[in-house]
Amino acid sequence: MIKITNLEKFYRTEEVETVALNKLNLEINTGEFVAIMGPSGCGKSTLLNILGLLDDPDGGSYLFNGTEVAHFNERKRADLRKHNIGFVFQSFNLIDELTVFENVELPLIYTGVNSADRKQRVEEVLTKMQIMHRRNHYPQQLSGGQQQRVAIARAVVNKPKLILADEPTGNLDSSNGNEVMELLTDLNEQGTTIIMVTHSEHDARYSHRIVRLLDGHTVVENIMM
Amino acid sequence: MLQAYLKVAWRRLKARLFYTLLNVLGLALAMGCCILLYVYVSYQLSFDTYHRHAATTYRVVNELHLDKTEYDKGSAMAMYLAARREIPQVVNGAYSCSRQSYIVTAGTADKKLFREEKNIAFTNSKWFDVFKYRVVAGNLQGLNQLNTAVLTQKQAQKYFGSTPAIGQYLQIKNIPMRVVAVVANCPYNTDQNSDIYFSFATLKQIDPDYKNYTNQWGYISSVNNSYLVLRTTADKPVVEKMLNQIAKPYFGDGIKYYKFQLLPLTEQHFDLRYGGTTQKSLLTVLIVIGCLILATAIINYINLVVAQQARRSTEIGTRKVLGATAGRLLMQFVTESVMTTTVAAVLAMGLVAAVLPVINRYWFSAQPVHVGSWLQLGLFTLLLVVIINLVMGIYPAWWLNRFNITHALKKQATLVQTGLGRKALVVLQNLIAQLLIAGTVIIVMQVQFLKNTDKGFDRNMVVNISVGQATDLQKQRLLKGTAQMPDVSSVSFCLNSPATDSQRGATLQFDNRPKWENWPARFAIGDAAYAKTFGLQLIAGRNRDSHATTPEFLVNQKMARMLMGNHWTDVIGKKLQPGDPKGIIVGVVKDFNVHSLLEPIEPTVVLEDKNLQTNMAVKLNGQHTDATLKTLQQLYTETLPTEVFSYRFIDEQIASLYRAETLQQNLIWGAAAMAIVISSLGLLGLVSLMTLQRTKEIGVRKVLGAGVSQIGLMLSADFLKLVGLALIVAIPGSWWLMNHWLQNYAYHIQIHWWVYALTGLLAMLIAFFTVGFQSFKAAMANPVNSLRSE
Repeated sequence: MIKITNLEKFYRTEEVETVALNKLNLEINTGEFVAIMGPSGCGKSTLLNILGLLDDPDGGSYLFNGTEVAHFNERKRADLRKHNIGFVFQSFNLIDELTVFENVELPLIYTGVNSADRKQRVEEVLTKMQIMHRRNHYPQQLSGGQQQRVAIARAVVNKPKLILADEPTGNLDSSNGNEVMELLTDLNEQGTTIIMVTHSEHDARYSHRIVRLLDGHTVVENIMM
Repeated sequence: MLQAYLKVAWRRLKARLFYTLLNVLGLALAMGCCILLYVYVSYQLSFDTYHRHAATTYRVVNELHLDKTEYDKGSAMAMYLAARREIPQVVNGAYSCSRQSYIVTAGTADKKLFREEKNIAFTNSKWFDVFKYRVVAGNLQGLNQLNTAVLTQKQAQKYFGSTPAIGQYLQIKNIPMRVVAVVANCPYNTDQNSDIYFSFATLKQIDPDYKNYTNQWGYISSVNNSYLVLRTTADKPVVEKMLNQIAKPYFGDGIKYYKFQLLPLTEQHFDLRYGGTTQKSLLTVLIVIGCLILATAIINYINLVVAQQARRSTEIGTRKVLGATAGRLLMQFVTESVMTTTVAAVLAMGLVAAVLPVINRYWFSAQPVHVGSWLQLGLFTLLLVVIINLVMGIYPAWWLNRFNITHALKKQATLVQTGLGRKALVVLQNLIAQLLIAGTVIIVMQVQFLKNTDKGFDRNMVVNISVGQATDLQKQRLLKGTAQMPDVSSVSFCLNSPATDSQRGATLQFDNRPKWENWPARFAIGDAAYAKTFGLQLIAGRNRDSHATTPEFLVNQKMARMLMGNHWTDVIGKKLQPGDPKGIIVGVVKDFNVHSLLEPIEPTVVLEDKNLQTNMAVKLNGQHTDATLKTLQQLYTETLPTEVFSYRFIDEQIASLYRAETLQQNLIWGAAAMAIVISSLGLLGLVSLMTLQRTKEIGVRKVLGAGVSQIGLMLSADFLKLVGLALIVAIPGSWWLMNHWLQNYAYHIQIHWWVYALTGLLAMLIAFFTVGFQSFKAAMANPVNSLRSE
């Protein structure tokens, strides 16, 4: 599904050039659950942003389902993103002014799904995430675990092929964290490819494979049994 | 989709209620100001624009080029008739003799006396051809006959109550006038506002001066009005040229001093030289002030949007990740600003409806402002909403365009990038407020100066009472009666107080000089007691003797110097011919000003003209004013049974000379107050957001040992620095502008340094109280909480 070759990314300030990704090579197949680990500043989030087409690389190739997307323009990237990729953030990034239902509905509005279909699909996914009873609540009225479940619901409502999760349990206690990991595992079992950045060895154990980064390189890949 | 935008906008505005209220209030006040200014400006611009041929109607005016150019809005009937007869480009015209005052006898059962002041015009039916009036009853053609009258509705009501006025009789000077038509009351926006129209043909019977009016070319007076309707506006220069040509044979050599011109009807309200009452430049200044106030409110809005940007960027980032386009995101911003401005607009309209009657009563009492059309006002408000939203949309559009999702999601969209812009906006806003504060201080000082400066005569406790055409015998009886009143110290029969809005004057011949002087002198007309009553100070010679066989004159020092230079006392005993009667100068008085202080002192002759002495000026001691006025009224009614008693204090009359300045003072005061309130609202919002965003910093500083006062001052100082910076820019700007304005006055104040010290202090104090509370509140918060909240 994903093949990156010699991927490079630099950050420049007036005086310093920092190498975030240094000729990185990585291949991820459809249906995989991959955890990306490494110390702070090793390039994990940069990699995730490039994979999610939020940022573009300075060099190398990025094939998404066989198509070179490294140098797509903003419009094309946005289009590919909204139909294929779901995002889960550490800080949930739910919109305060929208209810649970409206937050989850948002990606469907942006892809032009009609109102009746939207309602059906949002309710379906909320039920699946066991948060249907909170559909009219605002994010501030929910616990952290509930908020992350809403965020996951929002990420999957468009039925994306790929979910990118950036430390999805970073702001949660262990029991809520485990619940979220179970949800992601379920999704993966139903066929969704998942790439997750994490600091937690515990969470990483849910994945099939751990990719460890150091200074923008792949250091080692552990295959989980 | 729209529904979704509205829903989110509403929730967001509700969630940040404090900031929403600040924005709505600021915008409502600013829009209210703009709407009021629009009402005022459009009202002024609508004067006399609605007549049938307003665009091609002109008033005949003239310039008299002596040493100084004199402007006269009047013209002779003879010239009007010749223009109608001889100039083919003139297709219609009207003539009137207006602003006449008479005692009118009217009533159905019992005859009553009414004093009508300057609201009577003599004219014929042509007047109503040129100017638009609605006929309520009768036939205007009747006005072309002798002894007829046309009344406005309110005047007919005043005289005859509910009885139909047509066919009823009025009397002036015992001459009966039959009412032939009633017209609707004059609209507010006209300078042609007489209430009573008498047939012009009758004027000959009433005023002997008008006996030969059809061929007296020199009978130019500001009450004689000629209006000509031309075929097209392009005809104006040709007709002006022809007017000067046809006048030539009648003025002889004197024609070289005159220049006859056409003043467009729609311009006469604004041409101060010809009796206009509103300066167009004032309207321009008001429009600029309106824009500045609006800018202040828009700056508030943008500043608050910018300040909330850090918080908002995560949301925008998330929406972008989920597939929102920049256009959709902009729509969300625009929906919010449209909602805010719409609420503000409704509030502003309400504010205007509530405030207009109040300011009409206190500020515009002399000329109340009226809303021409509420529909038009609604459209203007709508336009305002559109303009505001376009301006307010620029910032979010620019921001969204350079938006970086990854930075936003990492919460790196810091304020550093926009800090400079925000500071510049705060400085600009304060600059506007400070310019207006300094302007207010200076205008208030100048108006006070104008009202209180010594004009060379005594204006206190002098009452002016009209005695109309009282006979000498009646005047004697009045004098005898007032002599017995202990509170009366002096009485003079005169035309006017020394300073009024209209003066008489003429060129004159001095001593045995063969030529007439080439400058005109002003006339102060009154009997011998004039000098005593108005406190004119004799500095050489003696006062006049009313019983002298040769007329005697006093002149002011300026005139004496113009006649004899340094030997100015030598004018005493010399002959003088100011107009008709020749006489002798017997004394010189200290200079006094016959104008408002807009003009310098002019050469002035104090002389007697019994026909014109229609007022009685009474100087009171001021001990028992009310009782004395009552006794005066009694004496007056007994002596002059055909007149109506009314009085006015001279100092009030003089204050009314500065009506325009007082109005300017009020308008700019109001504008300054608004600018201060609006910019304070903005500061309040900003400081509250800034302290919120600096919560962590404040916590860290407190942990490291900073005290409450240190932190409070640190937070306030950031804003006070900006206020100080605005002051530095405001000083030269305001100094230049206000000095420019003061040059309009022959007598004006100097701008002192302390005006700006006061302005700065005021601005600093207001800013300090606005930001101080929030700053110290933030400084007092428990650092444990502030650190945890991050």
